[in-house]
Amino acid sequence: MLIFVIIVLAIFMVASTLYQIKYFQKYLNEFDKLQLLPNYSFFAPKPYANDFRLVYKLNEDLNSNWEELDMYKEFTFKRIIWNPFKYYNKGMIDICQYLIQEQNVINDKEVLKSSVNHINIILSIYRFLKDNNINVESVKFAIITSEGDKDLKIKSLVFCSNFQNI
Amino acid sequence: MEFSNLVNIGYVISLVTILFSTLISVLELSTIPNHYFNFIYPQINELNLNKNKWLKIHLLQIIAIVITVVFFFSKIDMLFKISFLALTMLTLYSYVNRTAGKDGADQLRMLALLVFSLCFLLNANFERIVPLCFLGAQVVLGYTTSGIAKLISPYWRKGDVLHLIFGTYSYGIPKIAKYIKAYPKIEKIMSYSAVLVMLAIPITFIIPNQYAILIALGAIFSFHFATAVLMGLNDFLYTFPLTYPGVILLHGLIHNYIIL
Repeated sequence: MLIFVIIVLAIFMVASTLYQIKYFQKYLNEFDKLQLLPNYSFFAPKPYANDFRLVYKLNEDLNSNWEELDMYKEFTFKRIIWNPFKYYNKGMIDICQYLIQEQNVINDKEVLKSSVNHINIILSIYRFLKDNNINVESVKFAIITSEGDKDLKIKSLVFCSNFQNI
Repeated sequence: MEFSNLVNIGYVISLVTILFSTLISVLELSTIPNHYFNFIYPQINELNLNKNKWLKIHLLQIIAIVITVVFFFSKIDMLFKISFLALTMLTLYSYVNRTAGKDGADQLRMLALLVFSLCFLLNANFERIVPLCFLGAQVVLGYTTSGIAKLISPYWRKGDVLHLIFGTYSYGIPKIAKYIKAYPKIEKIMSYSAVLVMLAIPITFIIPNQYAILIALGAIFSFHFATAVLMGLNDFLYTFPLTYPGVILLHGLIHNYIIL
């Protein structure tokens, strides 16, 4: 049993070492169904300096403004111990990145409507509006890159959906 | 100090850290606002669209953590292992379904739970040594990679990235970003310090001096404290230290100041 465990751990150790080299990542991802192989580069080589921000527009009204799905949290010391914000903020960024990757492959926005990532963004916006007692028939959203903290300073538009009935 | 005592102390520290880390993570996930739930559990199926079901799973994880602690410190070995395995399976289920919003601390936590569980197959002599050494090796790899990636990065070498990171919506503190942008020398010192602290681990790991590795671990712990304060990455602060007993054990075994 010791030999079996040592072999399993040795294989994982070799795989995780190779995974730090970009060339091997796409091959190893085929085997890593549980997403356990860690990428330890952390903010390198290019550090995270631009955010994705989600904005939405309601009801096919050309005069309505774009609103932001605002998640910003001011700094507090308690986040040393307690910071659930990091999960849903990173989750939003990941979902946006996946959708953008899908857009690079599938140009048709009508097809992209059935993407899990597209649906999740629409669902999140819908729930946000419902929790704030805002009635809506249709919504469109956009993913933009922004620099800076709370205030939106648009750098570029990376994705814009069509209006979708909800 | 006798080797077995050292291993036992290291194991207890690692185990308590894993359980504490898992507890805080589960509690945080349980408080995600309803409308952001799909950013955490984005798969479209009946379970993921139902937040209440996930809250029940989180509750089971919390119960598993509590009874694991009780059985471990009561020295009821079989029940401790069963509850730990149950916790590992529940956490793995959550981890696999969380296809967004994960970070390096989540991966290390999941890996630690699985490795500890796998090593329950071993006899008492190796059940504690093997997971500690493996996790110690993993974190040495991690800090080495992180340090080298920053060292070869033109952005980090230029020394002016921190005000951009701290100026972001996700990780920022606007006042800090403004301050360090105004003082580029301080920003450079902070940037280079981050790289040096990362590289200190593999360098001191090679040096046969136990105090050097302890100082390096203290420095990297301070780094994680700083990122918890400045960037809100609190889970790195209370997850990565679970590997430090393993680093010390491995270093001692390799350089012969800890004898089997």
